Amino acid sequence: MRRLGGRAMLAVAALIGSSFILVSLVVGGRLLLLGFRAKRAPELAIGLGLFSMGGFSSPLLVVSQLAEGLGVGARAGCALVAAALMAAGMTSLLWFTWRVFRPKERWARWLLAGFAVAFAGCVIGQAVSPGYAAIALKQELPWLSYRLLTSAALAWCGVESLHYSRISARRQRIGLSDPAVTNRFLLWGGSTLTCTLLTVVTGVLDPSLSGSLVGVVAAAPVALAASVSLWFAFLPPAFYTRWLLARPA
Amino acid sequence: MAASIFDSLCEELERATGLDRLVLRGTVRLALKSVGLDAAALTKRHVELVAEKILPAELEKRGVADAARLCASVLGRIAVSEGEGRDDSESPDAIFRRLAAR
Repeated sequence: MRRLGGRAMLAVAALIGSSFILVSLVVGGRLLLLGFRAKRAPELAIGLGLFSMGGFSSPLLVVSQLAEGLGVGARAGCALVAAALMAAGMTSLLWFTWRVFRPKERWARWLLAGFAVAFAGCVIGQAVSPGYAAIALKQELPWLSYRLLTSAALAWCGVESLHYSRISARRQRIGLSDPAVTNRFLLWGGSTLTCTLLTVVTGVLDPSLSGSLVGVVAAAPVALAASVSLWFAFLPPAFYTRWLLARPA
Repeated sequence: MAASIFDSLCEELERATGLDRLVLRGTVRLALKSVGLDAAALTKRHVELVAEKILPAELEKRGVADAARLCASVLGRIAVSEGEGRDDSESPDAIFRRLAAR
């Protein structure tokens, strides 16, 4: 009975946690469409980042580690594609961050280039050692540098957006911006920093939490908060926008 | 080459306040930066808002008396070149506004 309750809780928590995958697919897909239609690079970059990283990389990694019915080769392939999509998605989000917030800063361009090279190095290096089969079979963890890189990249995206939300709030006070846009910086920054927290805890501090009952249950509300922030940032419901615009500055 | 709207604003303020050129330009740059504006991409509207709502306090911090009136009087004398500062479509605000477009 107790075991059944644990399984039910795990299933519910996993469903709530996977809301981030669904929201990433919907929001990322929509931003990609917007980018294709308008031929705008920032929309394409953030759309590609969310779509490949949140929408495909995370579920593929779970499949590679839990789908025991698949052969080792297929599971290793899934783990490799998951890592490649994560690296491509993160680089895309970093490009978006540089392009939107620091297009003229030389240090930001170098930081972006450094991240891109480091991500590529990790994806290729992990194939050599420990190998994606060992990662898929949970015999070995991905490189610590790869896990740290993901957290650092997400943190940069979040910090830049939160920093600009303060500037945007000042712009709003003098009539240069509107509350919905200012709030969007805050929500995007909040969502990416929430993801940073998740990757730091489950990827760096205690990787054993990933996939455990405690880990999945604890991560569920955090993932839900990130999903809601993402949804309200880029697909804000009409009532929410009305509320933002009606609030005193 | 025609002076930019930023140069024009700084020259008029320098004349009106008597502040050192470098101090004055630094003060204006800081005021612009505080609201995420780039000196190279200013519009007349940006300058009006900054001169009305941000610069007076910054100038008063540097000992300029009656800065609000002074800023208002300077605004009328600023030269704006044709087409200057019109492309705001790649600012963070413009991009984030587009990201939730229906």
